[in-house]
Amino acid sequence: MILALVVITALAFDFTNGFHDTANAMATSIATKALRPKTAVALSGVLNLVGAFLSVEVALTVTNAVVKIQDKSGAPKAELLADGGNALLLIILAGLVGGIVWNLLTWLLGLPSSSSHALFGGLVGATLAGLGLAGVNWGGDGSKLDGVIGKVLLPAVISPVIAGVVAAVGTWIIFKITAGVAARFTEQGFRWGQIGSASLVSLAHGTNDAQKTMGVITLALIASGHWSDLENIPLWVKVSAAVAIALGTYLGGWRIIRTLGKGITDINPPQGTAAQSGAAAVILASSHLGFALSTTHVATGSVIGSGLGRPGAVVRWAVAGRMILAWLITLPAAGLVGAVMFWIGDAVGGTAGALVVFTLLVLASAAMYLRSRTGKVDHENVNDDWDGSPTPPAVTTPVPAVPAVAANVAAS
Amino acid sequence: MHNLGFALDGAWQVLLAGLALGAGLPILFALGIRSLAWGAGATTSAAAAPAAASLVPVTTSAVPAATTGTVLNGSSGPASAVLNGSSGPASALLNGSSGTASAVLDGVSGESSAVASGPAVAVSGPRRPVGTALGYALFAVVVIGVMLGLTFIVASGFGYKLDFSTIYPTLVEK
Repeated sequence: MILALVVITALAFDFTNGFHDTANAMATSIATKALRPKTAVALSGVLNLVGAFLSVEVALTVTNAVVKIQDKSGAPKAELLADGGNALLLIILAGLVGGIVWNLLTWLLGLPSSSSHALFGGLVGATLAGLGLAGVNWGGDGSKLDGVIGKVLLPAVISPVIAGVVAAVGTWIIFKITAGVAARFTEQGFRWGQIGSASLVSLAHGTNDAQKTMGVITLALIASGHWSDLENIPLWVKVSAAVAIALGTYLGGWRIIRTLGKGITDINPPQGTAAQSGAAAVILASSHLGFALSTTHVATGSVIGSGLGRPGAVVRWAVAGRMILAWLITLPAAGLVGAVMFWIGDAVGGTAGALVVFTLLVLASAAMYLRSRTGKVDHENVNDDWDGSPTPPAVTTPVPAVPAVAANVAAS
Repeated sequence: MHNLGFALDGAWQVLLAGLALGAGLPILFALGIRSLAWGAGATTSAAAAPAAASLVPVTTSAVPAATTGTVLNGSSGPASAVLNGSSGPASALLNGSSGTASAVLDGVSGESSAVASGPAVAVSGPRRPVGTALGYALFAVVVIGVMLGLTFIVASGFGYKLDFSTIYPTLVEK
Protein backbone atom coordinates (compact mmCIF):
# COMPACT_ATOMS: atom_id res chain seq x y z
CA MET A 1 0.00 0.00 0.00
CA ILE A 2 2.75 2.46 0.95
CA LEU A 3 4.66 1.46 -2.15
CA ALA A 4 1.61 2.18 -4.31
CA LEU A 5 1.28 5.62 -2.73
CA VAL A 6 4.97 6.31 -3.34
CA VAL A 7 4.69 5.29 -6.99
CA ILE A 8 1.59 7.44 -7.55
CA THR A 9 3.18 10.38 -5.77
CA ALA A 10 6.41 10.00 -7.73
CA LEU A 11 4.50 10.04 -11.01
CA ALA A 12 2.55 13.05 -9.79
CA PHE A 13 5.85 14.78 -9.08
CA ASP A 14 7.03 13.87 -12.55
CA PHE A 15 3.85 15.40 -13.96
CA THR A 16 4.39 18.65 -12.06
CA ASN A 17 8.02 18.60 -13.15
CA GLY A 18 6.81 18.51 -16.74
CA PHE A 19 4.36 21.38 -16.61
CA HIS A 20 6.60 23.41 -14.35
CA ASP A 21 9.46 23.19 -16.81
CA THR A 22 7.62 23.65 -20.11
CA ALA A 23 8.47 27.31 -19.83
CA ASN A 24 12.19 26.62 -19.80
CA ALA A 25 12.11 25.48 -23.40
CA MET A 26 9.08 27.15 -24.87
CA ALA A 27 8.33 30.43 -23.09
CA THR A 28 10.37 32.56 -25.47
CA SER A 29 9.03 30.83 -28.58
CA ILE A 30 5.48 31.40 -27.36
CA ALA A 31 6.18 35.01 -26.40
CA THR A 32 7.59 35.88 -29.81
CA LYS A 33 4.85 33.86 -31.55
CA ALA A 34 7.48 31.74 -33.26
CA LEU A 35 5.16 28.91 -32.30
CA ARG A 36 1.50 28.96 -31.35
CA PRO A 37 1.11 28.16 -27.65
CA LYS A 38 -0.56 24.79 -28.14
CA THR A 39 1.90 23.80 -30.85
CA ALA A 40 4.81 24.73 -28.60
CA VAL A 41 3.66 22.64 -25.64
CA ALA A 42 2.80 19.73 -27.92
CA LEU A 43 6.27 19.83 -29.50
CA SER A 44 7.91 20.08 -26.11
CA GLY A 45 5.79 17.21 -24.77
CA VAL A 46 6.73 14.93 -27.65
CA LEU A 47 10.43 15.78 -27.30
CA ASN A 48 10.31 15.15 -23.56
CA LEU A 49 8.70 11.79 -24.24
CA VAL A 50 11.36 10.91 -26.79
CA GLY A 51 14.09 12.19 -24.49
CA ALA A 52 12.89 10.06 -21.62
CA PHE A 53 13.30 6.95 -23.75
CA LEU A 54 16.63 8.00 -25.22
CA SER A 55 18.50 7.43 -22.01
CA VAL A 56 19.26 3.88 -21.02
CA GLU A 57 21.43 4.89 -18.11
CA VAL A 58 19.94 4.15 -14.71
CA ALA A 59 19.55 7.19 -12.47
CA LEU A 60 19.17 4.90 -9.49
CA THR A 61 21.56 6.86 -7.33
CA VAL A 62 19.79 10.17 -7.83
CA THR A 63 19.15 10.70 -4.10
CA ASN A 64 22.85 10.24 -3.28
CA ALA A 65 23.43 13.80 -4.37
CA VAL A 66 21.82 15.15 -1.22
CA VAL A 67 20.93 12.36 1.23
CA LYS A 68 22.43 9.13 2.50
CA ILE A 69 19.67 6.59 2.12
CA GLN A 70 21.44 4.53 -0.54
CA ASP A 71 24.92 3.18 -0.98
CA LYS A 72 27.08 3.90 -4.02
CA SER A 73 25.63 1.02 -5.98
CA GLY A 74 22.13 2.37 -5.50
CA ALA A 75 21.02 -0.24 -2.98
CA PRO A 76 19.07 1.14 0.00
CA LYS A 77 20.89 1.36 3.32
CA ALA A 78 20.31 -1.90 5.21
CA GLU A 79 19.21 -0.17 8.40
CA LEU A 80 16.29 1.39 6.56
CA LEU A 81 14.92 -1.88 5.26
CA ALA A 82 13.33 -3.17 8.43
CA ASP A 83 9.57 -3.54 8.43
CA GLY A 84 9.40 -3.96 4.68
CA GLY A 85 11.39 -0.78 4.05
CA ASN A 86 8.59 1.38 5.42
CA ALA A 87 11.00 3.90 6.96
CA LEU A 88 12.67 4.50 3.63
CA LEU A 89 9.36 4.60 1.78
CA LEU A 90 8.04 7.22 4.18
CA ILE A 91 11.13 9.38 3.68
CA ILE A 92 10.71 9.15 -0.08
CA LEU A 93 6.97 9.81 0.12
CA ALA A 94 7.39 12.83 2.38
CA GLY A 95 10.20 14.15 0.20
CA LEU A 96 8.11 13.82 -2.93
CA VAL A 97 5.21 15.60 -1.24
CA GLY A 98 7.56 18.45 -0.32
CA GLY A 99 8.66 18.71 -3.94
CA ILE A 100 5.14 18.63 -5.35
CA VAL A 101 3.73 21.18 -2.90
CA TRP A 102 6.56 23.61 -3.66
CA ASN A 103 6.17 23.03 -7.40
CA LEU A 104 2.45 23.74 -7.21
CA LEU A 105 2.86 26.79 -5.00
CA THR A 106 5.47 28.35 -7.28
CA TRP A 107 3.31 27.51 -10.28
CA LEU A 108 0.37 29.23 -8.62
CA LEU A 109 2.54 32.29 -8.11
CA GLY A 110 3.88 32.03 -11.65
CA LEU A 111 7.46 31.63 -10.47
CA PRO A 112 9.93 29.50 -12.38
CA SER A 113 11.77 27.48 -9.76
CA SER A 114 13.78 24.32 -10.06
CA SER A 115 11.82 21.07 -9.83
CA SER A 116 15.02 19.19 -9.11
CA HIS A 117 15.82 21.48 -6.23
CA ALA A 118 12.28 21.09 -4.94
CA LEU A 119 12.70 17.31 -4.98
CA PHE A 120 16.08 17.53 -3.33
CA GLY A 121 14.71 19.96 -0.75
CA GLY A 122 11.84 17.64 0.08
CA LEU A 123 14.18 14.68 0.43
CA VAL A 124 16.61 16.64 2.60
CA GLY A 125 13.78 17.78 4.89
CA ALA A 126 12.28 14.31 5.19
CA THR A 127 15.71 12.79 5.82
CA LEU A 128 16.55 15.40 8.45
CA ALA A 129 13.30 14.58 10.19
CA GLY A 130 13.82 10.85 9.88
CA LEU A 131 17.55 10.33 10.24
CA GLY A 132 18.89 13.59 11.60
CA LEU A 133 21.77 15.74 10.38
CA ALA A 134 23.98 12.75 9.65
CA GLY A 135 21.50 11.52 7.04
CA VAL A 136 22.15 14.47 4.76
CA ASN A 137 25.01 14.64 2.29
CA TRP A 138 26.01 18.25 2.85
CA GLY A 139 29.28 18.52 0.97
CA GLY A 140 30.28 15.12 -0.41
CA ASP A 141 33.60 13.42 0.30
CA GLY A 142 35.78 16.03 -1.35
CA SER A 143 36.54 13.99 -4.46
CA LYS A 144 34.05 15.78 -6.70
CA LEU A 145 31.29 18.35 -6.82
CA ASP A 146 28.72 16.76 -4.55
CA GLY A 147 26.21 17.17 -1.77
CA VAL A 148 23.72 19.90 -1.00
CA ILE A 149 26.42 22.53 -1.43
CA GLY A 150 27.95 21.15 -4.61
CA LYS A 151 24.85 19.87 -6.38
CA VAL A 152 22.29 22.43 -5.30
CA LEU A 153 23.53 25.64 -3.74
CA LEU A 154 26.59 26.49 -5.83
CA PRO A 155 25.01 25.65 -9.21
CA ALA A 156 21.97 27.71 -8.23
CA VAL A 157 24.21 30.74 -7.84
CA ILE A 158 26.60 30.14 -10.71
CA SER A 159 24.51 28.68 -13.53
CA PRO A 160 22.09 31.62 -14.05
CA VAL A 161 25.05 33.99 -14.18
CA ILE A 162 26.82 31.90 -16.80
CA ALA A 163 23.66 31.55 -18.89
CA GLY A 164 22.95 35.24 -18.52
CA VAL A 165 26.41 36.25 -19.72
CA VAL A 166 26.21 33.90 -22.70
CA ALA A 167 22.76 35.14 -23.71
CA ALA A 168 23.66 38.80 -23.17
CA VAL A 169 26.78 38.54 -25.32
CA GLY A 170 24.90 36.61 -28.00
CA THR A 171 21.99 39.04 -28.05
CA TRP A 172 24.16 42.14 -28.14
CA ILE A 173 26.24 40.90 -31.06
CA ILE A 174 23.21 39.58 -32.94
CA PHE A 175 21.55 42.97 -32.77
CA LYS A 176 24.72 44.63 -33.96
CA ILE A 177 24.95 42.25 -36.91
CA THR A 178 21.34 42.44 -37.96
CA ALA A 179 20.87 46.17 -37.43
CA GLY A 180 19.03 47.51 -40.43
CA VAL A 181 18.31 44.13 -42.00
CA ALA A 182 14.74 43.92 -43.22
CA ALA A 183 12.32 42.38 -40.78
CA ARG A 184 11.21 39.75 -43.28
CA PHE A 185 14.66 38.22 -43.03
CA THR A 186 15.21 38.56 -39.31
CA GLU A 187 11.73 37.59 -38.11
CA GLN A 188 11.47 34.46 -40.21
CA GLY A 189 15.09 33.44 -39.81
CA PHE A 190 15.24 33.78 -36.07
CA ARG A 191 11.87 32.09 -35.77
CA TRP A 192 13.52 28.90 -36.99
CA GLY A 193 16.49 29.55 -34.78
CA GLN A 194 14.21 29.71 -31.79
CA ILE A 195 12.34 26.54 -32.66
CA GLY A 196 15.56 24.60 -33.15
CA SER A 197 17.18 25.71 -29.91
CA ALA A 198 13.98 25.28 -27.91
CA SER A 199 13.66 21.74 -29.23
CA LEU A 200 17.16 20.94 -28.04
CA VAL A 201 16.31 22.17 -24.55
CA SER A 202 13.13 20.07 -24.51
CA LEU A 203 14.96 16.95 -25.56
CA ALA A 204 17.72 17.47 -23.02
CA HIS A 205 15.10 18.04 -20.33
CA GLY A 206 13.40 14.75 -21.14
CA THR A 207 16.64 12.80 -20.93
CA ASN A 208 17.56 14.32 -17.58
CA ASP A 209 14.47 14.93 -15.50
CA ALA A 210 12.40 11.85 -16.26
CA GLN A 211 15.35 9.77 -15.14
CA LYS A 212 15.11 11.19 -11.64
CA THR A 213 11.58 9.94 -11.14
CA MET A 214 12.50 6.58 -12.62
CA GLY A 215 15.33 6.33 -10.11
CA VAL A 216 13.13 7.25 -7.16
CA ILE A 217 10.42 4.74 -8.09
CA THR A 218 12.97 1.99 -8.63
CA LEU A 219 14.56 2.77 -5.26
CA ALA A 220 11.15 2.37 -3.63
CA LEU A 221 10.63 -0.94 -5.44
CA ILE A 222 13.99 -2.21 -4.21
CA ALA A 223 13.36 -1.02 -0.66
CA SER A 224 10.05 -2.87 -0.55
CA GLY A 225 11.53 -6.02 -2.06
CA HIS A 226 9.73 -5.80 -5.40
CA TRP A 227 12.86 -5.33 -7.51
CA SER A 228 16.50 -6.32 -7.06
CA ASP A 229 18.30 -5.42 -10.28
CA LEU A 230 20.59 -2.45 -9.69
CA GLU A 231 21.55 -2.20 -13.36
CA ASN A 232 18.14 -1.90 -14.93
CA ILE A 233 14.76 -0.46 -14.19
CA PRO A 234 11.39 -2.04 -14.91
CA LEU A 235 9.93 -1.14 -18.30
CA TRP A 236 6.65 -0.01 -16.78
CA VAL A 237 8.55 2.48 -14.63
CA LYS A 238 10.28 3.90 -17.67
CA VAL A 239 7.07 4.11 -19.68
CA SER A 240 4.95 5.59 -16.91
CA ALA A 241 7.57 8.21 -15.97
CA ALA A 242 8.08 9.18 -19.60
CA VAL A 243 4.34 9.53 -20.20
CA ALA A 244 3.84 11.49 -16.97
CA ILE A 245 6.49 14.09 -17.76
CA ALA A 246 5.30 14.36 -21.36
CA LEU A 247 1.67 14.85 -20.32
CA GLY A 248 2.72 17.42 -17.75
CA THR A 249 4.73 19.25 -20.37
CA TYR A 250 1.81 19.19 -22.78
CA LEU A 251 -0.51 20.57 -20.11
CA GLY A 252 1.79 23.59 -20.02
CA GLY A 253 2.44 25.60 -16.90
CA TRP A 254 0.96 28.70 -18.50
CA ARG A 255 1.50 30.92 -15.50
CA ILE A 256 5.22 30.23 -15.54
CA ILE A 257 5.40 30.46 -19.31
CA ARG A 258 3.81 33.89 -19.04
CA THR A 259 6.28 35.08 -16.41
CA LEU A 260 9.31 33.82 -18.29
CA GLY A 261 8.10 34.92 -21.72
CA LYS A 262 6.41 38.21 -20.92
CA GLY A 263 7.21 39.19 -17.37
CA ILE A 264 10.97 39.47 -17.18
CA THR A 265 11.49 41.38 -20.39
CA ASP A 266 9.82 41.86 -23.76
CA ILE A 267 11.33 39.32 -26.09
CA ASN A 268 11.63 39.40 -29.86
CA PRO A 269 12.84 36.56 -32.12
CA PRO A 270 16.56 37.44 -32.21
CA GLN A 271 16.53 37.69 -28.43
CA GLY A 272 14.62 34.43 -28.13
CA THR A 273 17.15 32.66 -30.34
CA ALA A 274 20.04 34.00 -28.30
CA ALA A 275 18.37 33.07 -25.01
CA GLN A 276 17.42 29.54 -26.06
CA SER A 277 20.73 28.84 -27.77
CA GLY A 278 22.57 30.05 -24.70
CA ALA A 279 20.43 27.87 -22.47
CA ALA A 280 20.85 24.81 -24.69
CA ALA A 281 24.62 25.25 -24.92
CA VAL A 282 25.06 25.78 -21.19
CA ILE A 283 22.86 22.78 -20.33
CA LEU A 284 24.66 20.47 -22.75
CA ALA A 285 28.14 21.74 -21.85
CA SER A 286 27.38 21.32 -18.15
CA SER A 287 26.07 17.84 -18.70
CA HIS A 288 29.19 16.97 -20.70
CA LEU A 289 31.50 18.33 -18.00
CA GLY A 290 29.55 16.82 -15.10
CA PHE A 291 28.58 20.22 -13.74
CA ALA A 292 25.18 19.87 -12.09
CA LEU A 293 22.69 22.62 -12.75
CA SER A 294 19.02 23.34 -12.99
CA THR A 295 17.38 23.81 -16.39
CA THR A 296 15.11 26.41 -14.84
CA HIS A 297 17.95 28.54 -13.53
CA VAL A 298 19.74 28.39 -16.85
CA ALA A 299 16.64 29.25 -18.89
CA THR A 300 15.75 32.14 -16.61
CA GLY A 301 19.30 33.47 -16.55
CA SER A 302 19.31 33.35 -20.35
CA VAL A 303 16.11 35.36 -20.63
CA ILE A 304 17.44 37.99 -18.24
CA GLY A 305 20.71 38.05 -20.17
CA SER A 306 18.90 38.52 -23.47
CA GLY A 307 17.07 41.47 -21.93
CA LEU A 308 20.33 43.01 -20.78
CA GLY A 309 21.98 42.41 -24.14
CA ARG A 310 19.35 44.02 -26.33
CA PRO A 311 19.84 47.74 -26.72
CA GLY A 312 16.92 49.60 -25.25
CA ALA A 313 15.30 46.58 -23.61
CA VAL A 314 14.03 46.75 -20.07
CA VAL A 315 14.43 43.97 -17.52
CA ARG A 316 11.72 43.99 -14.88
CA TRP A 317 13.90 43.46 -11.87
CA ALA A 318 10.94 43.25 -9.54
CA VAL A 319 9.80 40.09 -11.32
CA ALA A 320 13.33 38.74 -11.55
CA GLY A 321 13.84 39.48 -7.86
CA ARG A 322 10.77 37.46 -6.89
CA MET A 323 12.10 34.54 -8.87
CA ILE A 324 15.53 34.72 -7.32
CA LEU A 325 13.90 34.86 -3.90
CA ALA A 326 11.93 31.74 -4.81
CA TRP A 327 15.17 30.00 -5.81
CA LEU A 328 16.75 30.88 -2.51
CA ILE A 329 13.93 29.46 -0.45
CA THR A 330 13.16 26.43 -2.63
CA LEU A 331 15.41 24.10 -0.67
CA PRO A 332 14.32 25.13 2.84
CA ALA A 333 10.65 25.52 1.89
CA ALA A 334 10.35 22.12 0.20
CA GLY A 335 12.47 20.72 3.02
CA LEU A 336 10.12 22.10 5.64
CA VAL A 337 7.12 20.50 3.93
CA GLY A 338 9.02 17.24 3.59
CA ALA A 339 10.01 17.28 7.25
CA VAL A 340 6.49 18.07 8.46
CA MET A 341 5.06 15.34 6.27
CA PHE A 342 7.53 12.83 7.65
CA TRP A 343 6.72 13.79 11.23
CA ILE A 344 2.99 13.46 10.58
CA GLY A 345 3.37 10.15 8.79
CA ASP A 346 5.72 8.81 11.42
CA ALA A 347 3.48 9.96 14.28
CA VAL A 348 0.45 8.23 12.81
CA GLY A 349 2.58 5.28 11.79
CA GLY A 350 2.46 2.52 9.21
CA THR A 351 0.14 2.51 6.25
CA ALA A 352 -2.27 4.88 7.97
CA GLY A 353 0.53 7.44 8.31
CA ALA A 354 1.35 7.22 4.62
CA LEU A 355 -2.34 7.56 3.80
CA VAL A 356 -2.61 10.70 5.92
CA VAL A 357 0.41 12.20 4.16
CA PHE A 358 -1.05 11.35 0.77
CA THR A 359 -4.43 12.80 1.75
CA LEU A 360 -2.79 16.03 2.86
CA LEU A 361 -1.05 16.21 -0.51
CA VAL A 362 -4.34 15.74 -2.34
CA LEU A 363 -6.02 18.43 -0.24
CA ALA A 364 -3.17 20.91 -0.71
CA SER A 365 -3.08 20.23 -4.44
CA ALA A 366 -6.84 20.64 -4.79
CA ALA A 367 -6.78 23.89 -2.83
CA MET A 368 -4.05 25.35 -5.04
CA TYR A 369 -5.79 24.17 -8.19
CA LEU A 370 -9.04 25.82 -7.11
CA ARG A 371 -7.16 28.97 -6.22
CA SER A 372 -5.64 28.97 -9.69
CA ARG A 373 -9.10 29.21 -11.25
CA THR A 374 -9.14 32.81 -10.12
CA GLY A 375 -7.13 34.77 -12.62
CA LYS A 376 -6.73 31.78 -14.87
CA VAL A 377 -3.85 31.82 -17.32
CA ASP A 378 -3.97 29.54 -20.33
CA HIS A 379 -2.92 29.35 -23.96
CA GLU A 380 -5.37 32.08 -24.91
CA ASN A 381 -4.12 34.83 -22.64
CA VAL A 382 -0.55 33.74 -21.99
CA ASN A 383 0.76 36.46 -24.29
CA ASP A 384 -1.33 39.32 -22.97
CA ASP A 385 0.53 42.42 -22.00
CA TRP A 386 2.22 42.09 -18.65
CA ASP A 387 0.17 43.58 -15.79
CA GLY A 388 -2.61 44.32 -18.22
CA SER A 389 -0.98 47.48 -19.42
CA PRO A 390 0.52 47.65 -22.87
CA THR A 391 4.24 47.46 -22.58
CA PRO A 392 6.46 49.47 -24.85
CA PRO A 393 6.87 47.57 -28.07
CA ALA A 394 10.25 46.69 -29.43
CA VAL A 395 10.39 49.97 -31.30
CA THR A 396 11.50 52.59 -28.93
CA THR A 397 10.26 55.46 -31.07
CA PRO A 398 7.21 55.32 -33.30
CA VAL A 399 7.45 56.39 -36.91
CA PRO A 400 4.73 58.96 -37.11
CA ALA A 401 4.35 59.60 -40.79
CA VAL A 402 3.91 56.07 -41.99
CA PRO A 403 1.20 54.19 -40.12
CA ALA A 404 -1.80 55.56 -41.95
CA VAL A 405 -0.39 54.87 -45.36
CA ALA A 406 1.29 51.66 -44.38
CA ALA A 407 -1.78 50.31 -42.65
CA ASN A 408 -3.97 51.07 -45.59
CA VAL A 409 -1.69 49.43 -48.04
CA ALA A 410 -1.05 46.44 -45.83
CA ALA A 411 -4.78 45.97 -45.42
CA SER A 412 -5.22 45.86 -49.15
CA MET B 1 35.78 24.61 0.18
CA HIS B 2 36.58 21.79 -2.21
CA ASN B 3 33.09 22.16 -3.67
CA LEU B 4 33.69 25.81 -4.43
CA GLY B 5 36.91 24.94 -6.21
CA PHE B 6 35.23 22.25 -8.27
CA ALA B 7 32.34 24.57 -9.04
CA LEU B 8 34.55 27.44 -10.18
CA ASP B 9 36.69 25.06 -12.19
CA GLY B 10 33.62 23.70 -13.95
CA ALA B 11 32.02 27.12 -14.26
CA TRP B 12 34.65 28.72 -16.45
CA GLN B 13 34.70 25.70 -18.73
CA VAL B 14 30.94 25.85 -19.06
CA LEU B 15 31.19 29.59 -19.68
CA LEU B 16 33.72 29.14 -22.46
CA ALA B 17 31.75 26.33 -24.09
CA GLY B 18 28.57 28.32 -23.65
CA LEU B 19 30.07 31.40 -25.30
CA ALA B 20 31.49 29.36 -28.16
CA LEU B 21 28.31 27.45 -28.88
CA GLY B 22 25.51 29.34 -27.19
CA ALA B 23 26.59 32.74 -28.43
CA GLY B 24 28.80 31.70 -31.34
CA LEU B 25 26.22 29.70 -33.25
CA PRO B 26 23.49 32.36 -33.02
CA ILE B 27 26.05 34.93 -34.17
CA LEU B 28 26.85 32.78 -37.20
CA PHE B 29 23.11 32.43 -37.73
CA ALA B 30 22.73 36.22 -37.63
CA LEU B 31 25.58 36.61 -40.09
CA GLY B 32 23.80 34.10 -42.31
CA ILE B 33 20.63 36.15 -42.17
CA ARG B 34 22.50 39.31 -43.00
CA SER B 35 24.25 37.58 -45.90
CA LEU B 36 20.95 36.29 -47.16
CA ALA B 37 19.42 39.74 -47.03
CA TRP B 38 22.44 41.19 -48.77
CA GLY B 39 22.28 38.46 -51.37
CA ALA B 40 18.63 39.25 -52.04
CA GLY B 41 19.54 42.84 -52.73
CA ALA B 42 17.96 44.16 -49.58
CA THR B 43 20.59 46.48 -48.34
CA THR B 44 20.52 49.41 -46.09
CA SER B 45 22.41 52.61 -46.21
CA ALA B 46 23.91 54.71 -43.51
CA ALA B 47 21.51 56.33 -41.18
CA ALA B 48 23.15 59.67 -41.66
CA ALA B 49 22.32 59.88 -45.34
CA PRO B 50 20.65 63.13 -46.25
CA ALA B 51 16.94 63.08 -46.56
CA ALA B 52 17.08 64.60 -50.01
CA ALA B 53 18.73 61.49 -51.36
CA SER B 54 16.24 59.12 -49.90
CA LEU B 55 13.60 59.12 -52.58
CA VAL B 56 14.07 55.73 -54.09
CA PRO B 57 11.82 54.30 -56.74
CA VAL B 58 11.07 50.66 -56.44
CA THR B 59 11.08 48.62 -59.58
CA THR B 60 7.80 46.89 -59.27
CA SER B 61 6.16 48.02 -62.41
CA ALA B 62 4.88 44.57 -63.22
CA VAL B 63 3.07 44.31 -59.97
CA PRO B 64 -0.28 45.96 -59.64
CA ALA B 65 -0.42 48.37 -56.82
CA ALA B 66 -3.28 46.47 -55.31
CA THR B 67 -0.96 43.58 -54.48
CA THR B 68 1.66 45.78 -53.01
CA GLY B 69 2.13 45.47 -49.30
CA THR B 70 3.94 47.74 -47.00
CA VAL B 71 5.18 46.46 -43.73
CA LEU B 72 6.39 48.71 -41.08
CA ASN B 73 8.63 47.16 -38.57
CA GLY B 74 10.23 49.14 -35.91
CA SER B 75 12.71 46.90 -34.31
CA SER B 76 15.75 48.32 -32.72
CA GLY B 77 18.88 49.23 -34.53
CA PRO B 78 19.83 52.18 -36.65
CA ALA B 79 16.98 53.82 -38.42
CA SER B 80 16.84 52.58 -41.94
CA ALA B 81 14.35 51.68 -44.52
CA VAL B 82 14.65 48.76 -46.84
CA LEU B 83 12.72 48.44 -49.99
CA ASN B 84 12.78 45.27 -51.90
CA GLY B 85 10.46 44.98 -54.75
CA SER B 86 12.46 43.01 -57.15
CA SER B 87 10.12 40.07 -57.46
CA GLY B 88 6.74 38.87 -56.46
CA PRO B 89 4.34 41.14 -54.71
CA ALA B 90 6.16 44.31 -54.04
CA SER B 91 6.80 44.97 -50.44
CA ALA B 92 8.26 48.00 -48.86
CA LEU B 93 9.83 47.32 -45.56
CA LEU B 94 10.56 50.15 -43.32
CA ASN B 95 12.71 49.21 -40.43
CA GLY B 96 13.63 52.04 -38.22
CA SER B 97 13.72 52.77 -34.60
CA SER B 98 13.96 56.47 -34.78
CA GLY B 99 13.55 59.36 -37.06
CA THR B 100 10.59 59.97 -39.28
CA ALA B 101 9.82 58.00 -42.32
CA SER B 102 6.94 57.73 -44.69
CA ALA B 103 6.05 55.38 -47.45
CA VAL B 104 4.02 56.44 -50.40
CA LEU B 105 2.79 54.00 -52.98
CA ASP B 106 1.79 55.15 -56.34
CA GLY B 107 -0.92 52.81 -57.47
CA VAL B 108 -1.60 54.45 -60.81
CA SER B 109 1.43 53.28 -62.65
CA GLY B 110 2.03 50.29 -60.56
CA GLU B 111 5.22 51.75 -59.27
CA SER B 112 5.97 51.99 -55.65
CA SER B 113 8.13 54.57 -54.10
CA ALA B 114 9.23 55.31 -50.66
CA VAL B 115 9.91 58.66 -49.25
CA ALA B 116 12.03 58.69 -46.20
CA SER B 117 12.90 61.80 -44.41
CA GLY B 118 15.39 62.21 -41.64
CA PRO B 119 17.70 59.30 -41.00
CA ALA B 120 15.53 56.58 -42.50
CA VAL B 121 16.86 55.63 -45.89
CA ALA B 122 15.65 53.10 -48.38
CA VAL B 123 17.87 51.33 -50.82
CA SER B 124 17.33 48.40 -53.09
CA GLY B 125 20.07 46.65 -54.94
CA PRO B 126 20.76 43.85 -57.34
CA ARG B 127 20.73 40.23 -56.25
CA ARG B 128 24.09 38.89 -55.13
CA PRO B 129 24.42 35.10 -55.39
CA VAL B 130 27.59 35.20 -53.33
CA GLY B 131 25.67 36.60 -50.39
CA THR B 132 22.97 33.98 -50.71
CA ALA B 133 25.54 31.18 -50.91
CA LEU B 134 27.44 32.55 -47.94
CA GLY B 135 24.23 32.82 -45.96
CA TYR B 136 23.32 29.21 -46.56
CA ALA B 137 26.89 28.11 -45.82
CA LEU B 138 26.67 29.83 -42.45
CA PHE B 139 23.30 28.21 -41.81
CA ALA B 140 24.91 24.85 -42.59
CA VAL B 141 27.55 25.45 -39.92
CA VAL B 142 24.80 26.22 -37.43
CA VAL B 143 22.91 23.08 -38.40
CA ILE B 144 26.08 21.05 -37.85
CA GLY B 145 26.34 22.60 -34.39
CA VAL B 146 22.75 21.65 -33.63
CA MET B 147 23.35 18.12 -34.92
CA LEU B 148 26.35 17.94 -32.60
CA GLY B 149 24.09 18.88 -29.71
CA LEU B 150 21.56 16.24 -30.71
CA THR B 151 24.32 13.65 -31.02
CA PHE B 152 25.54 14.54 -27.57
CA ILE B 153 22.07 14.13 -26.02
CA VAL B 154 21.45 10.78 -27.68
CA ALA B 155 24.97 9.50 -27.05
CA SER B 156 24.81 10.46 -23.37
CA GLY B 157 21.61 8.52 -22.99
CA PHE B 158 23.25 5.41 -24.38
CA GLY B 159 26.36 5.64 -22.24
CA TYR B 160 28.66 7.40 -24.69
CA LYS B 161 30.24 10.80 -24.68
CA LEU B 162 31.65 13.08 -27.33
CA ASP B 163 35.41 13.15 -27.41
CA PHE B 164 37.02 16.27 -28.83
CA SER B 165 40.63 15.13 -28.50
CA THR B 166 40.85 14.67 -32.25
CA ILE B 167 40.09 17.22 -34.95
CA TYR B 168 36.60 15.92 -35.37
CA PRO B 169 34.37 14.75 -32.49
CA THR B 170 34.10 11.02 -31.88
CA LEU B 171 31.92 8.90 -29.64
CA VAL B 172 33.60 7.02 -26.82
CA GLU B 173 32.17 4.94 -24.00
CA LYS B 174 31.87 6.72 -20.68
